[in-house]
Amino acid sequence: MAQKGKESAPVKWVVFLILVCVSLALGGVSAIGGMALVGGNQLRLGAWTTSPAIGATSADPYTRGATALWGILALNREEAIYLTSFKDDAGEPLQPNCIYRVSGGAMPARWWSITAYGPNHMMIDNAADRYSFTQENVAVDAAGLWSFRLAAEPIAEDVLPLGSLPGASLGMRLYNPAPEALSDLSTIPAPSITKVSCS
Amino acid sequence: MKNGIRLVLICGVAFALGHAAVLFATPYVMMDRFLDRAAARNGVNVMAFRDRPTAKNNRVVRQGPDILYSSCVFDLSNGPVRMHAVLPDTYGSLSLFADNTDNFYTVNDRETREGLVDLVVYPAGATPPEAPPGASLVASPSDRGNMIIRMVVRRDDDEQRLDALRRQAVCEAL
Repeated sequence: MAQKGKESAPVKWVVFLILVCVSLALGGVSAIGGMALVGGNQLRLGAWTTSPAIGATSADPYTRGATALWGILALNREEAIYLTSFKDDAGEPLQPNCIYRVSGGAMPARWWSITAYGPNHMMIDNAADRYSFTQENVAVDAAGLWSFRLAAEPIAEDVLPLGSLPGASLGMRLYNPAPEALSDLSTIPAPSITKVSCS
Repeated sequence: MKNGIRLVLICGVAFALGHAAVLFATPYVMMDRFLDRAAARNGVNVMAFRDRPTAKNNRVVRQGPDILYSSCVFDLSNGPVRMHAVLPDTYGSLSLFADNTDNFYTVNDRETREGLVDLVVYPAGATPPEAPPGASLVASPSDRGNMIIRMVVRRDDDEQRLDALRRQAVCEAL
């Protein structure tokens, strides 16, 4: 019995240390999860999310961490507003087997662009070398509304390729945002992303 | 029972410590990695002019394919650094980032006279250096950081002009 008691003490310490290490690791993982959930996503605009604190010296630690991981060297909002979307207007994740229409009107900024990114947040390689549409090259109708389509491959001139992997996203840049957008991000008329068809 | 409660408390504290450590270290670690790689590739206090980003040459997450990026890893530990650039009217900006990724200073072409930017960057807390005539002083919250010049390419046939313009930029120890 005495021998068993002697052996159990080190075992208890090992279990204790393992539990402490697992708790530390879980704490770290939860911080990354918090950045993904909260950082950069404080405001929802239709299918898009943004945060007023991206790039700011006053950013909360979750936004600062998210910016470091998924948007390093982003400008602060006085200079640029960044909108991100992983979903369509119905809240469904963008799927590589579907075609979407992205459309909008005049944006409250000096210049805007929409870029497609793969699940690794890098641009998506495609046969047309097409990575974005901007206010200069997007099709605009007589009413002043612009639109383009999303699909896995660049099947037409008006298609921005999303690639073949799930988890793709869109990033919209609004450079030199207008004063009303700056003072209230919720006034930004976020483009709509509607599903057209799926194969 | 007492030991069990003590264990739960200790694990709770460990969880909170792990959470806080990752939360606060992540921006510094990511920026440190970025600055180390950029400095190894291009040097310190010197301009680097990257090709327009594509899927084939992209190294940084979520970059804009319609933007010409130029950058300079700055290190103020041996004194101030002077940065000079000419920004285009297509939208051009020069921005400074601290070692925790904060964008602590930006100037764009509309805020300049004919796009000219001339800065002397020095460490916050140090005695401000004497700026050359026409240059503005900017205090940096960290000794190390990154400067980026962004130029929007509105038309592909304008890229050559913008490339020539950005190559006038200078980043050097004062």
